[in-house]
Amino acid sequence: MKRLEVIVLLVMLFAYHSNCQSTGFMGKRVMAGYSFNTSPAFFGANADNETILGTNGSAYSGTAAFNIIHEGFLEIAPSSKWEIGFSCRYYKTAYDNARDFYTLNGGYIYFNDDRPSGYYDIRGLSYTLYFRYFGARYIAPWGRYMMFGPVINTMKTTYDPAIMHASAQDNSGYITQTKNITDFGPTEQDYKGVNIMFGAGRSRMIANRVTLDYGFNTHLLSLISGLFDVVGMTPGSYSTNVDNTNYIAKTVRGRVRGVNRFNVFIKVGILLF
Amino acid sequence: MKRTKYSLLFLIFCSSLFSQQDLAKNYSPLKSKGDLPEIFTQSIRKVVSKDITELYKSKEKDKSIKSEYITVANYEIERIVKSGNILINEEVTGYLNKIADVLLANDTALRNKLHIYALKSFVVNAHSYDKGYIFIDLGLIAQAESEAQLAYTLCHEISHYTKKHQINGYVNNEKINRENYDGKSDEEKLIKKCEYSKDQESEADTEGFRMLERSNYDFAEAEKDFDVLQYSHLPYELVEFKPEFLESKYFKIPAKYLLKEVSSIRNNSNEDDTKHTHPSTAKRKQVIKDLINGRYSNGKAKNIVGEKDFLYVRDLTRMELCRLYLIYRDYPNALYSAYIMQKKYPDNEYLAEIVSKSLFGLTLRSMGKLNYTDDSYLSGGIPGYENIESYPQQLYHLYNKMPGNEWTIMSLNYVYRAHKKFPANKQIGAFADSLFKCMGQIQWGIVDFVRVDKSAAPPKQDTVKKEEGSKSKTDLIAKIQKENNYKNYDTAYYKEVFVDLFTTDTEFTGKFPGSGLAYQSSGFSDYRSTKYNTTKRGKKSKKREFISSNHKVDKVILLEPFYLKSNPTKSDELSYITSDEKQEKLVKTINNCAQKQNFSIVTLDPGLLSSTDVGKMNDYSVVMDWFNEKYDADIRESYPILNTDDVDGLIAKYGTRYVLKMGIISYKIGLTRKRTYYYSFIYDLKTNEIVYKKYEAFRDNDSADLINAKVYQTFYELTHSK
Repeated sequence: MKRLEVIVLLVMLFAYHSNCQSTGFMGKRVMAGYSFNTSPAFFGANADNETILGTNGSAYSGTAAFNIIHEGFLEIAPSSKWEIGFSCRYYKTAYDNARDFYTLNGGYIYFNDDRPSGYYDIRGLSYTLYFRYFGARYIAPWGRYMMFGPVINTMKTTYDPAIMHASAQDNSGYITQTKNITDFGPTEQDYKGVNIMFGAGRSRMIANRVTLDYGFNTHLLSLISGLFDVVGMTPGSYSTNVDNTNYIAKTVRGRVRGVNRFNVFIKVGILLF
Repeated sequence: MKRTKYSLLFLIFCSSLFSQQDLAKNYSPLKSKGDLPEIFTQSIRKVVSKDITELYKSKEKDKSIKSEYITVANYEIERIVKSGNILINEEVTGYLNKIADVLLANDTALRNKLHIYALKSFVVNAHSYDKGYIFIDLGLIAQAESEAQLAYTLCHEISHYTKKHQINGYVNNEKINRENYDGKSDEEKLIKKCEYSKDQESEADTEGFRMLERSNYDFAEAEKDFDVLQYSHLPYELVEFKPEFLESKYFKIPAKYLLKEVSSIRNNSNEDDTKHTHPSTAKRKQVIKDLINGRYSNGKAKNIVGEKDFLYVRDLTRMELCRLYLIYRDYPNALYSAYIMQKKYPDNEYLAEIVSKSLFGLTLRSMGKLNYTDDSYLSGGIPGYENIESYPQQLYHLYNKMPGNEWTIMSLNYVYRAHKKFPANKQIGAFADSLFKCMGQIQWGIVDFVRVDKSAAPPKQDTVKKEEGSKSKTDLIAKIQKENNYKNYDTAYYKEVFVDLFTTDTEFTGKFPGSGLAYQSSGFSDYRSTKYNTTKRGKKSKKREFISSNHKVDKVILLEPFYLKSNPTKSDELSYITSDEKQEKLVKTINNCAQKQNFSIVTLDPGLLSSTDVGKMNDYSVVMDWFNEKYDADIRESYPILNTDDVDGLIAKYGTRYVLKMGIISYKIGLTRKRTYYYSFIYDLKTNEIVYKKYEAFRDNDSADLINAKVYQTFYELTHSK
């Protein structure tokens, strides 16, 4: 992670010094601020385990549920058309255990439940190094733009065995025993993924100091796999056994893709200098 | 003692304000003097607000439409007053006001409400507004035959004001526009509007006549005034055009270029006036004739302020008209007007300058180096002589028939001799220099004006015959043609045009193309055929909308920025006021952005003047004249601006040769579609080039950030241009 930070820092410094011919907005080329991203939680549960449509998991469906992502950013305009930005996104969500167990666990345990009860929590951090290109006649950081850049998604999952568990029949012994499976691996698990962000927006300036952006962003790989995620048919997932030991690993990325797939955002920033 | 001193100073000041020009020698273009009137310093928005408040307190009908009119009229008056075209506290305006004093000697209340100004325009017209503003075009004064005729014109305009014709006409037209008018066509609506307007004009004619009748002016002159109007399309005097003044001892214009019989003058006084705002001149004249009813105006005078004053003021306007024609690149009219005035003032330097400029302008046109556009005053180019009436036809005939190269020779002949007559006049000298260059461009040099030595001529026909056997057919033809050319050249009527100059004038010989002598130019920016060349613009510069910039621009004269905010879903009233407010903000933004980048701006904005800033108002007028001339032809070309007498002084005064024009136009199409246009142009007053150009369209509102970003970018690009 430290290496990433150093790279980002170097890129930003290079951007700032590479082209002092940039107009900026009223001469200001650097801004920092906060962005609020949101999207409707149609199928996956949000942080409150709510979903709009639901996929037969444990989430409270039929409610007005939204994914919420908080984002901090720093942007520099090295030219009048281009801007380089670095952002860090933070979000909380949940997986409502909508995915069915697929096979027996080692051939001896039969799950009585189709899937674990409850949900597990996900906290995600995404790091994006992005480039904004401003449309004809606009001047970075003001105006209409498109943006893109690589994303590193990191996510931490936690589950509560009292909430997330499944009933199973253990045939390994002499007699079949009914067991309450609560072991889904370590309570806290870390995962990583990569993606490509693409988006478009419009930035306005208030009192020549405050920036107000609005637009949308997508994670392209999430978008491509979106249709499969929606119906729970993520490519490759059915060829692999899903049991309590890998349940989280098999489901967390799909949920994270759901959060990042498409968001509208509103950004508030300050033009620093 | 002190009082005497101050009285003396006051007298000197007054005499400096109204001291007469010696037109026999020269003429200085008309300029405003003294303090600027209140309209320059008051907030137009406050005036509109006050007027509307008063309207709503009154018991007037149609308050909504009238309130709209008040806004429109106030802004229109402000636009005219601040256009740089009205003359404040100078001779012509002073004279008009003296006539008004005579007319309204018994009605001081009305007199005090009037604001009468001469308007720098060659159009024969006058305008009246409900606020008591009356503008009389110089073209009308130049055509007047007596003071009483001008008095009648004033009476007519004053009657428009007293009868509130402007506001009533506006209300009537708006009602016709707003009401469906029983589903009638636009043409029928127009006819209905014109009927109302004609009624008003007839009323102003009658009321104006009665006002004139009450004064000591000869009321019979009112009838003659309509004759002046009838023939206002003709020059202010009809004088046979004898081009002897363009000739010299060794240069006589051949008879084939001269037109002896000119066409008759058409009489359209009885033309159909159905779609006209004014009744036909014949009808108007008849009404006045009926009012006069054969009475004799015994004891009444044609001139009360004074015939001498009238003739002097009229001559001033006629002199000014020559210049105004030049601004609109109407060179034949400028030349003819100057020709008329030269009859009276043969040694006037200004007239020689006007003739020189006109000849040069026509030379450029004949060489194909001056193109008019659809927006030009002469959008169809210089008319053919067949379309001209009476004596001016002779000038047009000469121009139409004489080949371009001969016109150039004739022009140089006149302009150079004028330069010798007025050697201190830099303008004439510069145009002479430019004509030398034109001569070079048509590939003519000294040898073309020297009689061919017989011994140096090509071999005679019998010699050619001897060589026939060894020559091809084409060689033979070429040889015969060459011999004929020698003959033609040798016998051409203009061959000896410069003989006296070649033999006695070293300056002339030195400047003549092909002389080999490097004679110094007289220092004026002469004509340069710099083309607007997009290929010269590199990829980067094209992106940045730079056209060319040989000089780093670090200071500009900022002209009043333009702002138009239009919203079809709201009334005109709101757009006027919103535009005004937005313009004020734009001025602040421009200054703010320039200041942030240490870019120097000198503001020349009639909206920001104090009462003592008459000098700035005159400077603004000079720049606007420059722009009018620039825009009258194809602006992509660096055509010479001929009216530059005051430009050099202005450049020296403000320390920059660059003028910045900036503006925003924003409007809505329907309910949701928005368009905003931003432009900024920088002109070089010396070279007539556009050195910076930015013109951009946005599908957005005219938001503050858009304006800030673009204005800042403009100055950024200027300060960072290499």
